[in-house]
This record gives sequence, C-alpha cells and structure tokens, in this order.
Amino acid sequence: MDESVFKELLHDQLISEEEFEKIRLQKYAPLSVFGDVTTMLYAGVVLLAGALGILVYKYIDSIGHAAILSFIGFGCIACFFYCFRHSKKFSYKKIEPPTVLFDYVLLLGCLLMLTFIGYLQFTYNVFGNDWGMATFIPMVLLFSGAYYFDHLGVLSLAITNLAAWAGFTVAPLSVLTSNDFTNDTLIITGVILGVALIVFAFVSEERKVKAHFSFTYKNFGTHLLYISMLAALFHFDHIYFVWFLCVLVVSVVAFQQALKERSFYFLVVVILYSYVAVSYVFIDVFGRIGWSTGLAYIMFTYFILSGIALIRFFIHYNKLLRENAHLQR
Amino acid sequence: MHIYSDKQLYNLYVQQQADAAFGTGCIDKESHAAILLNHKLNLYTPNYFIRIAVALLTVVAVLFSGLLLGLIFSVSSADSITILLIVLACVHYAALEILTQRKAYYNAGVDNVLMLSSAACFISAFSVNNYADQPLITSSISLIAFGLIAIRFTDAFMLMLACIALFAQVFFACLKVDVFAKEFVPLVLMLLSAIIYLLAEKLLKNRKLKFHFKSFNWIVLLSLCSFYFFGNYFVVKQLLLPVWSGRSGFTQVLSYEKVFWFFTGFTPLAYIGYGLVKRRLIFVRLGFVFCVLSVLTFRYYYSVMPIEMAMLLAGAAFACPGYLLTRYLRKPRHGFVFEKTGKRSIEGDALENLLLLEAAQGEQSPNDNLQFGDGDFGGAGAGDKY
Repeated sequence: MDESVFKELLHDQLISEEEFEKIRLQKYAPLSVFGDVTTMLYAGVVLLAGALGILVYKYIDSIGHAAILSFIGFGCIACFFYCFRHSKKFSYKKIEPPTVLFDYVLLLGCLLMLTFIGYLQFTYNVFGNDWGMATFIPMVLLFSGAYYFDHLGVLSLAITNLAAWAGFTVAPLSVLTSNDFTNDTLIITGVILGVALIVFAFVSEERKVKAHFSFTYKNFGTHLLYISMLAALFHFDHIYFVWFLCVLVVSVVAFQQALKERSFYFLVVVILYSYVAVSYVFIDVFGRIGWSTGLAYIMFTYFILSGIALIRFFIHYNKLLRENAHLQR
Repeated sequence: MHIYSDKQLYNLYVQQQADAAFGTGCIDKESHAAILLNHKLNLYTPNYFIRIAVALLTVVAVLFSGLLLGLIFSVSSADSITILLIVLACVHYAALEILTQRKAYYNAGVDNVLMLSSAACFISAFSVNNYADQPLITSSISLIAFGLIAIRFTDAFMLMLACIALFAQVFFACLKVDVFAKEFVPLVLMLLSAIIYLLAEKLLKNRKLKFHFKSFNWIVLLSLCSFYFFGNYFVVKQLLLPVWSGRSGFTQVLSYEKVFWFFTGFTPLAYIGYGLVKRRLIFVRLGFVFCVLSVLTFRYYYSVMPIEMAMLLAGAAFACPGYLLTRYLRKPRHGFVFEKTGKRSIEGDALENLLLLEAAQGEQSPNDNLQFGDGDFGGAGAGDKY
C-alpha cells in the first residue's frame, strides 16, 4: 500500500489517525501464505492419487492384486476414519472444515475410493457385466460424503460420476471430444441430466438444504444442458427448429433468473450459448438458399453487427446490475 | 501522453489503495465508502465475466470486419493484403480512440482487443512480404507499436508485449553479428532480463509514474520469468539453438552447456531464498513453479526414475511440507503466517471445480489400454443403457 496516498487521505480527514497507523504498520505485518500452502496440499493429493493409479496399473500382476487392493483399501479407510473422527455434526447449512487437513484427507480418501472400486471391478469382476454399477456405487458414496462432510470438491467428483454413469465426460478440456454427440440417446440423456442438475440447484436453495451447493449444481447443469441442446440442434437436422425453440425458451427463463440473482457469470453463459444457437440457425437458413458471394457478405455483416449489438447489450446489463446491486436480497 | 485524464487515473489509483486497505482491515467500511465517494471514477470497467464475453465478441466483430473488407476489395496479392492490414490497423485504432474517449472504457474487453488487433494488423503488414532483415525490422516495429499503445493507454499487457518484442529484437540483432557473439545469445538475453528487472524496480519507486505501477509490476514478473527461461537448458537447446544453428558455421552442440544446467538448477532456488529473505511472495511462488520445470527439464534428458515414482515423490514433496507449514505457520513466523484472508469468490469456486474435474478425470476415465471402463463412451464403466 502507498503510504503517501493515505497521508493525503488523512489530511483530507477521510481516514482517522488510528487507521493511518494501521496502514503504516501493515508493511511489517506477516504475509499470508494460505493460498500457496493449500495449493501445495491440493497438488500433493492429486499427484499421490495419480501415482497410485499408475503404480497399480503397471505392477498389479507382479505385486499381486490382493496386496495392492488391500493397500488402497486401507489408505481409503484411514482417510475416512480421520474424517469421521474430526467431522462436525451434520447440518443443512455450510460447515467450515474442523481442521486444515480435513478437506485434503477427505479428497484423497474419495480419490482412493474411486481407484479401489474401479480396480476391484477390473480384478474380481465384482459387478459382473454391469459396468454401470461400478460408477453408480461410487456416485452414491461421493454424494453422501459431499453432503455429510460439506465438501464442494467431493460434490464435483460426485456430479462427474453421475455424468459418467449416464455416459458423459464432463471434464472441461475433453467434454467436446470425449462424448459422442452424434448419438441420439446421449444427447437426450444430456438434456435430462442438465435439467435435473438445475432443478437440484433450485431445490437446494429453496429448501435451504446445503444452499451453497446450488452454484455447483447450476454450473454443471447449465453447461451440460446447453451443450446437449446445441448438439441436438446440430444433429437432429429435420426437427432442429424445435430444438432451437427449446434453446430460446430455456434462455429466456435462465436470463430472467440470472438478472434476478444479479449473476454476471450466468448472464454471460446464457447469452453466449444462445448466440451460438441463433448464429447456427441463421447460417443454416441462408445456407439452404445456396452459397454465393452475396451470402458471404450477409454472413460477415451479420457477425459484425450481432457482435456489436451483443457488446452493447452486455454493457447495458452490466451497468443495470451494478446500479441495482443494493436491491440484491 | 495518456488518453485518460490524470484525475481519473489518480482516483483509480486511490480506489485501488482503499480497496487493499479495506481488504486487510486497516480501514473500516465508512472510511472506505467515504474515500470512494470523494474519488469518483468515470472510467468504465465491467465485471470480469462481462469483460471476457465482450472481448470474445469484439474478436468476432474484428475478424469478420477484416474478412468483409477483404471480400469487398477482392484482396488477393501480397501488396493488397499489406494495404488491407494497414487500413484495418488504422480503423481499429480509430475505433479504440473514439470508444475510450467517449465511453471511458478502461480494461473493458473491447479496448483490450482493439489495442491488440490494431498493433497486430500493423505489425503483420510488415510480415507479408519477404525482405532482408525482416525479423529484426518486424520486432523493432513491434516494440514501437506495443510501446506507444502501452504508454497511451497505460496498459500492462501491451507493455509486456513491448518487452517481448525487445527480447526478439536483441535476439535477431545478435544473430547478425559474428559467430562468437551468437554463442552468447542466451546470456545476453538473461542480462537484458536482469536490466529490465532492475529498471522496473527503480521505476516502481518513482511516484510520478504511479499510474503505470501496475504495468511495472507485470514487467517485474515477466523479467523474472524470462531470466529463468533464457537460462533453462531445455529452452536454450531445443528452442533457441535450432534458430541460430541454421546459420552458417554452427553446430547443434552447446560448448558451455554446463552453465545452463547450473542456471536451470540454481535460479529457482535463488528466487525462493531471496523471496523468503525479502518477504516477496512473487519470488517464492515463481521459484516453486520453476523448481518443477527444472525437474521436468532434468527428467527430459536423464530419466532417472519411472513417472509413477516421480509423481509419488512429487506428491509427497508437496503434501508433507504443505502440512508441516500449516502447523508451523499457525502463528506468524519469519514474516509469514498461514491465515485465511478474504472471501472466496464465485470465480474462485468455478475455477476450483474445473481444475479438480480435469485432475480427477483420470480416476473416472482410466487409460483405454487398461481395458477398464468398458462402457460405450469411455466413461468409468457407464454406457447408454442404465
């Protein structure tokens, strides 16, 4: 902090002497390394879980299935034992972690559990040919863990498992490449799952059951729903206008909800996805007329004018939401 | 010199200082509100997400405006492309000036993209045709273009690009001199990084330039990164050496490669040590990141252990000291403390979700070679029937 600025503020009587003294002593205050150390812990947990997965895969034949699975199982139980021992009483409200290590031990335990169940199925075929169960059971356990211990990271893992159980990959860098969006069933599943997650978010908030989880549900649900609806728009060539109307209806509702919650993030997400849908329909409609230089002019002009229009739109709503920020409940 | 009024830039600076003081609890809510009221800002900076969206849309508009002009004027030859690029540069810059003066955009997304596009179009105009010393001339023009825009709009990103252009200019200038000088190009660039760092630190002490402090802080970061990278063995051997070894009389062998192994190993440790002594977290953080990169550099050339053992050791190296630090720094020690400050933002939650998903992706979708997860869509056993 620039002391000379605060000297002027003190002179203008905008801050008190006591506050100026605090500012002056601030440069001697200890620096917080909270973010750095928690990042180290996160990285450590993820690297350890990843290393264990590779170790098991490479040496499972030489070390022995039982030994490795016992080791992973023991590690998993130890982590959960620690968490149960230190956890606070269950509450529908947000619970702060009881110890610093709690969140990371829980995360490690959950990652080990996923590895354990997966390799149990691979080694002993516990679920037979029903591979879905190998995802369903961890999903249930992860959701239970997320709610009981109040951990957003575990909730994200649970939602990922839910999506995997339904046949989806929702990791950001592979959501478009790892999913087969030419499959009709997968597209419909994505839409249903997206709607379900959004409904879950709504119920969480209204019933105040872990209301702070609602953002995570809504985040996943919104992206999944829009990606699936856009996939439907691109894939179902004969009825794509129906899907376009679906996108518009969802967008109107989601837009109003984003305004009501004063959420810039969801406002941007809804508008950008809708823009992709509108642009696709525009290009497709004109494309059916027949490609020509004139059409290219129209296309380019459309993108220029629509881009500018949306920029003005965003700036307008940004100002509106900021001005009415005091009205937020 | 800069497009924004001194008063507005000063008010912005005061507001940033007040936010920092309020965030650390040095001033109360009333004082904070009073400061903001007395230092009103007319500069328009939207919310972070709006900024990103507006920037993306500006990219769309800029791209298609270029395509439209190209189509209208039937641009095909190299000369016509050059003229088009210069026209576009002028149009984008004019739009930038008008929008900034009339709407007072400041890091609004639109202005950032227009700065970049006008400079990029101008520089690209000099890259279309081939001529003697093209890289050197292009990098010199880049330095001027980025530098002027950085000063005019007090933009940190443009200043960083100007610095990168300076590195490129010095690099290509060194390549023009004799073989002896070419040998020491990485060391010259490291020296330049050190000079830029010292200059930025000196400028940060000059209160007359307080409106550019944010830019200078980014230059400090850039110079620290460039010093490490130009001394990193992998960067020198795989990226820099191939560029100048194509010239006459040069081989693919570095005659003094041990020097770069020394810098690869020593620089991160020096950063960490300096950061801990001087209580500058930027050095400590960069030091840790570069330690990881140095280990990866070493592993690239000398694979001393399998990847799973390396990950196991790395995991333990992160987790164990991390845990010990949480206990050791519960009370302030040596100028550091493990204490949560500030509230978590929505952006922080969203980013953490995304990072965790990517990291845990392997747990849900293991390697196909494992023949595990035999579901229809490569998920962890799921299929389209359930």
